[in-house]
Amino acid sequence: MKIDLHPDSFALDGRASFVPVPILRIRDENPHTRTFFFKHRLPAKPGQFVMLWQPGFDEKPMSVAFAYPEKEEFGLTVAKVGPSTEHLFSLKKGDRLGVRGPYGTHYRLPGASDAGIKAKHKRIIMVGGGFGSAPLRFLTEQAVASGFHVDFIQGARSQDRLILQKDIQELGAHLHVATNDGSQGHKGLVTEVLETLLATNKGRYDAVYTCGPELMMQAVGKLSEAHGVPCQVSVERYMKCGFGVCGQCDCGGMLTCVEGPVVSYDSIKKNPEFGVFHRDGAGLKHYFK
Amino acid sequence: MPNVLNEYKLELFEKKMVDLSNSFLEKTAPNPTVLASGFMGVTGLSLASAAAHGAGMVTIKSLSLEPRKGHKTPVIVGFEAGLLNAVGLSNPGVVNGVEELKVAKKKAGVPVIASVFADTAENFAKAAAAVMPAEPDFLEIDISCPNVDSEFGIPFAADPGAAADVTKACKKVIGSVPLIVKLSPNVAAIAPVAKSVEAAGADALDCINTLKGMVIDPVARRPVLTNKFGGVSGPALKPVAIRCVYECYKAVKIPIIGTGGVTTGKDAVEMMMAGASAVGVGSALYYRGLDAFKLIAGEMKDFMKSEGFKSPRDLVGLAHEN
Ligand SMILES: Cc1cc2nc3c(=O)[nH]c(=O)nc-3n(C[C@H](O)[C@H](O)[C@H](O)COP(=O)(O)OP(=O)(O)OC[C@H]3O[C@@H](n4cnc5c(N)ncnc54)[C@H](O)[C@@H]3O)c2cc1C
Ligand SMILES: Cc1cc2nc3c(=O)[nH]c(=O)nc-3n(C[C@H](O)[C@H](O)[C@H](O)COP(=O)(O)O)c2cc1C
Ligand code: FES
Repeated sequence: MKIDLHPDSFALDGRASFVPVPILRIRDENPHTRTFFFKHRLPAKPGQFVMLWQPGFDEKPMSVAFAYPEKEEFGLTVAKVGPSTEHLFSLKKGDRLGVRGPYGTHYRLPGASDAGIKAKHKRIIMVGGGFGSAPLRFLTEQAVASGFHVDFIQGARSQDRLILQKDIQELGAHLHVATNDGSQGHKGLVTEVLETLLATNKGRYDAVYTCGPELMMQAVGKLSEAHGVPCQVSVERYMKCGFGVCGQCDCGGMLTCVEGPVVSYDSIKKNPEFGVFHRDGAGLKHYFK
Repeated sequence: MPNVLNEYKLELFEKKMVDLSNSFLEKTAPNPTVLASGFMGVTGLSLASAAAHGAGMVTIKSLSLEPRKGHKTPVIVGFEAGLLNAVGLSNPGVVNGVEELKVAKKKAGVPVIASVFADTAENFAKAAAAVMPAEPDFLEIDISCPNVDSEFGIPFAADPGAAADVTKACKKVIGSVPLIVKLSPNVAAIAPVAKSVEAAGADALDCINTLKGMVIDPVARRPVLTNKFGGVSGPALKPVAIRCVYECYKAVKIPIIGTGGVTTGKDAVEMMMAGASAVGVGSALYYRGLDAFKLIAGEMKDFMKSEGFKSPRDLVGLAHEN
């Protein structure tokens, strides 16, 4: 009989349990954003996320911004936006939190066996908005180590919202900045900078990677497509379990926590909800504006 | 010219073939698996995705009259042999939920089960009536969630009389739509509850909801779930579910959906031999991903082929003969 799978083989599967992680250090990125470094060997890839538990408070999904498994260290770059992140900002070095993961899909560099993108020119573009620059910094680190030329476009409302610029530059990426108020770099949108790069270096980029507000990612995807460059985006939806059970993260029939967050623009552009609405913890719709 | 011998051989071959299609209260499903309530199915498109991934029937996340955010996170955590959850019945409410059900009815291509819960028999009936415009194939009433005691009191499924009251109230407002009552393992004896809801007009049972439990994090020195208590699902629940289905099958004539810990085709077969006519699948999505339905159905088929069973219905209640 060919039935060899027995639940015994599923027992002691630790993917859904918390590991205690002490805070090693905290770094201020800007007045609203901090990076928390934790002691734990986290085998994460760029674009994957973890569930971070503040015992006695709550638990939230966070993208991995730094991961050095060999040093037993990882980091999360967090923007203070509400009760949970505010609570996190009150914590100190040595405080112990819980983490489970990593979960979800990850960005794939051109030439990677499963990427479906060729590494012809060894040039790629990152487009980060808000804390979206954090997972892209992680990807940049990997890309530079694999010999890619990286143009990193970073956007924010104003200069005091920009993050990780020093880290990105130290990796050797070429940083381009766009702010709405012109307080740093180009005055305007990241897509305007992207358009210029794609047009002036026509046919010389392998791929575009983006993370940030959904409408920005949609615009980046469209623009990349118009220039014939493949693009990968990171979809954010309300998450409770993070491992494909609760259904809360649905985006038009896609279970974002397991089928995403990172997907190709080509596959998500047909999704009836991408760029249209997301749902909250009750499942109620909120339209993007 | 048709070759008579070949035709005869083909017929013999077809007779030996296993057909997984399964009828449940006169509805036909491609296989005996059922997406359990609370998994994936918050939205219509997600229910359709479960069907596309091989679920034989799909159940929407239980709906209440008003939208609910559910409990504060963490609401779910794993342990050695399963999951513990206290999602707290978050849902967008019947008004939005009925639209999701309509989408599911249009896109899923398999029987769709609506699920509702409420705080009183009267409100159960209101919620049941509110989802009828979507024309669900079945209505399931969740009278057995162990994670909302503090708000709703002891679940109706803990008391045969209360369970019957809710059953009767819902039966009155749903016309010819068959009613499935979801029972709880958190009772001293499940058979009296099963008998009581059968007498009250239930058309089928779903056995079982989760078993009340707790997980403590020794480093944090506290229960992991913010709700402290939660419901055990997954492999740890399986023997409890098998036992409940077995006891209910003995006690009632109406068909049973066997739910709890089904992770492989072998588990599904066990559940059907205990007396289930269809098999709920939930936590297996964690262990085996979205392919869980196809894998379970495939393994069922392999088992049935090697053991000489032609249809899932041949398995139902077999364990009672020995
Ligand atoms: C895959 C993923 C990766 C993320 N990575 C990061 C990151 O690297 N850095 C960072 O600062 N933030 C990240 N977030 C967002 C982060 O989870 C929210 O900012 C955080 O949950 C806000 O909680 P709050 O209580 O402080 O604010 P609230 O006032 O509760 O919420 C503020 C906003 O966050 C959203 N949000 C709240 N809870 C959740 C949840 N459980 N899942 C998804 N969104 C939620 C709300 O919809 C709202 O738009 C990520 C979200 C997802 C889904
Ligand atoms: C996260 C989660 C949410 C659930 N939500 C519901 C629900 O809303 N309504 C319901 O009737 N049962 C709910 N259940 C119970 C399941 O439908 C099922 O009865 C139980 O999980 C046992 O099956 P399993 O071992 O295959 O997961 C939920 C279970 C889990 C784990
Ligand atoms: S967060 Fe639970 S299924 Fe995705």
